[in-house]
Amino acid sequence: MREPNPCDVVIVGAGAAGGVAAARLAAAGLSVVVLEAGPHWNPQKDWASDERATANQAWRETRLTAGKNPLKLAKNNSGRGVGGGTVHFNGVCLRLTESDFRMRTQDGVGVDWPIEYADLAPYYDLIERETAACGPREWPWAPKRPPYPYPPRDPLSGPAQLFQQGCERLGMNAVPAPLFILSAPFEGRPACINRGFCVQGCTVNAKFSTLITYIPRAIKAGAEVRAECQVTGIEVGEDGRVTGVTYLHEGETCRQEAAVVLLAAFAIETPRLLLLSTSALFPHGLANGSGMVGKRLLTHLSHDVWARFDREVLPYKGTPVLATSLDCYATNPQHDWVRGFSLHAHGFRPVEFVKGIAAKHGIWGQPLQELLRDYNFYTKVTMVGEVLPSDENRVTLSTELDRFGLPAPLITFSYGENEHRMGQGALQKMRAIMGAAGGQVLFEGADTAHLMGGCVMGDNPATSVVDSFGQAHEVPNLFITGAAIFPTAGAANPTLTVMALAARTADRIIELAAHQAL
Amino acid sequence: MIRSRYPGYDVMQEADEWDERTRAIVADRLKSPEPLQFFKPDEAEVLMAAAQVLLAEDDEWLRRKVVELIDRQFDKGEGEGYRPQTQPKDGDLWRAGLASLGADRTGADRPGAHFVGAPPQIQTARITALQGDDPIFFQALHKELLSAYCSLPPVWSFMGYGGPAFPRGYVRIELGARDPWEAKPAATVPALPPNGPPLPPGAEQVLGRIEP
Repeated sequence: MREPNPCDVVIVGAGAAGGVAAARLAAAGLSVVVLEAGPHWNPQKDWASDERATANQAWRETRLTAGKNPLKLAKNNSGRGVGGGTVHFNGVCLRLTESDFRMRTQDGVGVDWPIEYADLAPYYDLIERETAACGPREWPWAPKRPPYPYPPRDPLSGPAQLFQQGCERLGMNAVPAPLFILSAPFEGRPACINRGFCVQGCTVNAKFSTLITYIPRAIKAGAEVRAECQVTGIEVGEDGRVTGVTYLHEGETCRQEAAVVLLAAFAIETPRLLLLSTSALFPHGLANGSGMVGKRLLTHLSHDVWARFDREVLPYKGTPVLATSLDCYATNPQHDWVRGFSLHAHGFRPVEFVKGIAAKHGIWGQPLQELLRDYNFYTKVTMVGEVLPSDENRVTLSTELDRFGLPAPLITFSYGENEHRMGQGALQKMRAIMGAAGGQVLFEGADTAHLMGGCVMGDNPATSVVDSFGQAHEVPNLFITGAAIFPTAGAANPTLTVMALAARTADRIIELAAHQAL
Repeated sequence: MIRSRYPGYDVMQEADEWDERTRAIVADRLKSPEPLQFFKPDEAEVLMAAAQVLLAEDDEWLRRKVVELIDRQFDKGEGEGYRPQTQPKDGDLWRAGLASLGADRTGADRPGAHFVGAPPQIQTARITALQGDDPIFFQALHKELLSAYCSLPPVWSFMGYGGPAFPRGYVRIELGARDPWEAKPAATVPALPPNGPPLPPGAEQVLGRIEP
């Protein structure tokens, strides 16, 4: 077994959360090792401006799905390689709102977060500044927020303009989407050139990913980032503290000893790793005395509405998401559902178009050719809708083994009553927007986006895995951060909150380490 | 074949403007089809026949490229990513599905009239039956055929899709704007049907999943 030198903090996962935490911890002088299951990408050499050639950016190991509404995984929500999901996300940069943190108190459903909006606001400011996030000059929704560091994107694409026209005619607010994509040069990176392949990995370096920002910063500050390292277990000493992790690299078993283990491996691999790490002290999985590890997996409703116009839209041009509305975000007593959704204009290239319409609706033969002929006349609206937490939606271990000989994860998911109602309401709203813009709604379909939860934060050790800083209730030197610790989903694209939580976790580790309290 | 709205447009005319890696990947899709690695010859024949029906693509060469792209994907073995617990592994699903479709003699009007050699209307009837009888395989087959087909430059040209556009990018992206090199619609554009088709039956099926 190979045993590299011990370090202060070993981070599992080099995605949105792991990248931010690594940069912050290394800058504070801690010795940091980051272990990433996938490759260390080179955007210009490894990627292409092509939908088919970039499927390997998604998590490829088999995961099994179950439940009434089995989730779509892989490219839909799970990254692989340094940069993780930030490599292939659309780059939407939204904050949660005040009510997202206190849903139980305000709406009587779900749970409250153990923190308030005000606790995360300084970290939202920080991450937006560090990434030169761009957004609208005026923000029409609560809470009030400081100006975006960079000006809004201009020009907007056909899909974004039609969405804005539709919203305006219905008296709704819509703004240029707030994005992690540069509207002007920043730190040697150019502004976006509207090539449109955000989801295939940005070869321009205009879209932020941790691969090209926080990870290089971490390495410069002394962190070591090891790619192609599949972590297989977390080791525990007799005193119940973690001592490090075991991992496989090119077929060889390795062991990384560390004073602190920080899991940033997203909403499936994080709980899976804890469930795999059983011992005499933790027979049901590490830090799982509550039985909450793997439970309350969350996603977002992401239904689509496709409309055809009698003029060309040319939906392939520009950043896919360039306009957004939060008018339906908050609970509205007139609705037959609680909580809400954000709405987004959405462009697409040919494969996404044909999968979204023809594959979902079973269109083939001559009608398929007619659909392809009219490609340039279509646009799409999509939603990010809140899914309420449920203990039944969860990650467990299956009996099927992966190629490393470890049990593959089983992901069980079913919508609740509120999701069904919200989904119908959102479709109605999206149809109205497209109709008001002069389009003809021809197709619509159910979908999901994003994953969160599975190792939720809370004040009560009986109903949560970690505290608000990500410190495990049962193991003082084990931390979890990022999407896995969200107790509820909100209705905003989660990446900014993932990064804000990771920065906050890193600051806590730095503070405790300075006081020898770990 | 129906008429493109962009007659004469060839997306490959701009290939010199693309980055080298993208250009090589796309150019590979226009080379003569190579021998298949994953599919056996009889499986490939079934797939070719299914592609003709599902894609309504009469060009045999394009269908061969579609089959080759799918073959490469299975051969690379990059992993499934995910799969419903009750569903067989990807490769097994395809082998069983193609064998079953190939052996299907429903409506055979003469001895030995299996799927591959059956007349077009019989093949269409069999694909229609497959959609209801084995929806899991049908959906996998349909989705992969569509994805591969819409990765071929001649199909991009038919659709009027501008293509990769890196490092050049798109400059004029607003409604009504067009970069000089993008596809231009024919002077007499075939009109869109004024009211379009109603939501197809499939649409309700998809939405049915989210009904309470």
